[in-house]
Amino acid sequence: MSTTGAKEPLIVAEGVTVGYELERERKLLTALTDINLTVDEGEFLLLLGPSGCGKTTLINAIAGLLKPWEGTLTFDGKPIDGPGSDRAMVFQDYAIMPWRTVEQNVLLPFELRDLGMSKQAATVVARDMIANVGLGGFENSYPHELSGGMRQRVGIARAMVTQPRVLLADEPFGALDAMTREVLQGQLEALVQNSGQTVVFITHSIDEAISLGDRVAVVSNRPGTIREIVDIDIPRPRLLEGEIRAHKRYAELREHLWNLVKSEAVGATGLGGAVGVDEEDRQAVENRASDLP
Amino acid sequence: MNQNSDDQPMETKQPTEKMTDGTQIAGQPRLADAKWTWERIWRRWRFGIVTVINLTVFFTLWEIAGRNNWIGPSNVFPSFSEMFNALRIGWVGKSGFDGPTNLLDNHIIAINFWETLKVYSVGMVIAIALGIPIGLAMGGSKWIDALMSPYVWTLSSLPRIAVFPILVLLPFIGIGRGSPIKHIIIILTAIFPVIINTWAGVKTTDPSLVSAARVFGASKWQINMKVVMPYTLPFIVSGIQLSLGRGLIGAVVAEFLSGANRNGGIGWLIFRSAAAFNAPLTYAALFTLSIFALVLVQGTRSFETRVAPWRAKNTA
Repeated sequence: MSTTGAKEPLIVAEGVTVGYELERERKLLTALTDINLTVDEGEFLLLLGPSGCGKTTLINAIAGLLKPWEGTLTFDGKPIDGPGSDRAMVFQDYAIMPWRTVEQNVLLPFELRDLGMSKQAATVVARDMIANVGLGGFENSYPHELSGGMRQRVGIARAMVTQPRVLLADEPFGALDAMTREVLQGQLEALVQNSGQTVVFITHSIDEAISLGDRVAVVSNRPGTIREIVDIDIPRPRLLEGEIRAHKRYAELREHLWNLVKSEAVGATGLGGAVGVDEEDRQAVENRASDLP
Repeated sequence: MNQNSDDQPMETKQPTEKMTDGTQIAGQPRLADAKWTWERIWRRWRFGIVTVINLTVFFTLWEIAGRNNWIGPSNVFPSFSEMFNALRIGWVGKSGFDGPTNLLDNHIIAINFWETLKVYSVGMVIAIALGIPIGLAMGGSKWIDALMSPYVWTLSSLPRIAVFPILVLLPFIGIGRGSPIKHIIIILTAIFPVIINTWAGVKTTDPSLVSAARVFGASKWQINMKVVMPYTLPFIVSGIQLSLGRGLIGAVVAEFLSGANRNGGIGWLIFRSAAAFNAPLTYAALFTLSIFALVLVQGTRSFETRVAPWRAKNTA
């Protein structure tokens, strides 16, 4: 596939339809239909959509936890067939092991896969990564001793420690308070900018999408599909040193994205009421979905 | 806690690097340096003080009630001192001052306690060794779960005492004469909390931890060893903790039913001494059993939070 001189996108989704089985109701639920999407190497792609639109299903398919029902989903030219060391993920509920220390959690990817690294070498790399995410000195702490923001730093360190080719992030800052979220967004931007990391990042926050994304793919309501892909033409760094909200494009982009999302968000609630009332349902369904083999 | 440190100047203290445990806050005197006052002693130890007073009143009332035969004569309701006397002779043996005794034999409690301890520990070890794998298998495989469920749930709901008469018949056809029948009874009473807790641990393993392990490349085996097992461990510990008490019930009931001349265990001793109207010995044996149960069940309670500090934190 990548024999041509032109640079191929890292991830290509063509006509992907994917869903999962609701075990109790014994029916198949289509989460996404006809997804066409590419992610380039080094790109920071945001998936923006209302709760329950199937964004998580898409990222789970890229991670290799779910197989597409129709269409093709390729990574570096090869169809995705199960999880791989080239893709790592950060979870909304952190999903770090409570019985492991920070360091042991960050070492987990080395334990689960043979990445050709000795234990000592892996430990050195892990400590370095822990320091990079600002957790130096907390190597031997347990997650229950850390705040939510610190726990998610562990999640980020665990995902980036093996230098995956793409970092998948499923609303990683969704459960954090607004201030912590802003700090972590800025630090993630800096971390990613320094390493040229490819990122696919889910959010339902328009501000987060504009702050972080090179491009924002707006996902419509269930069964979800890509409605529009919007380029965020605001120079970096936008967060830690920059002041993105003062940028003249910010308000325009925000209004444009809001108009795209608004009807979807209202539709997602089913009542035309407040956005996000079905958050618990969605969580339950998606937890169950990720449980399937 | 250094009581003598209040004369040291505070300025010499190094600025603290971390404030993780909250005992050192830079520039402020530590709590331990504050003066001891009666009010602080009371506030700190009030529940201990109340317990001491409470038990003193209890044992004094018992002594008075026993001596004055408020409830019955001493071969039905002994005083505390009579019980204590039986306890002493039953454990450390008769001294020259003791008069003639009947069943109140030298070391009789020690002998029977040792017997109970032997039978109980063998039964418990087998119950735990069988219960954990059964629980893991039921939690891990829907087929094994379906196969075992009717028996496990029926037997665990049934008052176990109801099946003991059947077990008592077994030695007549040559099965489990002597200790084995006691072991079977202990296993039957103790195994279900272990099975059910282990099963619940496996079943409730956080699905997002499993997802994370899969994303980072875990095989089925690795998911079991690195996610399901550590997640289930505190459940197993609390199952064992529950089963320790249940197993003791089984041991005592089994000993009630057993025939022996001298060493049928604490349960046997309680039953036989009561039948012989030796109430001081009955109460002494019961007292021994209560202390043992208290140490066993309460002593292992803290163990659960020690193996899984994150769970204690979450529920607190």
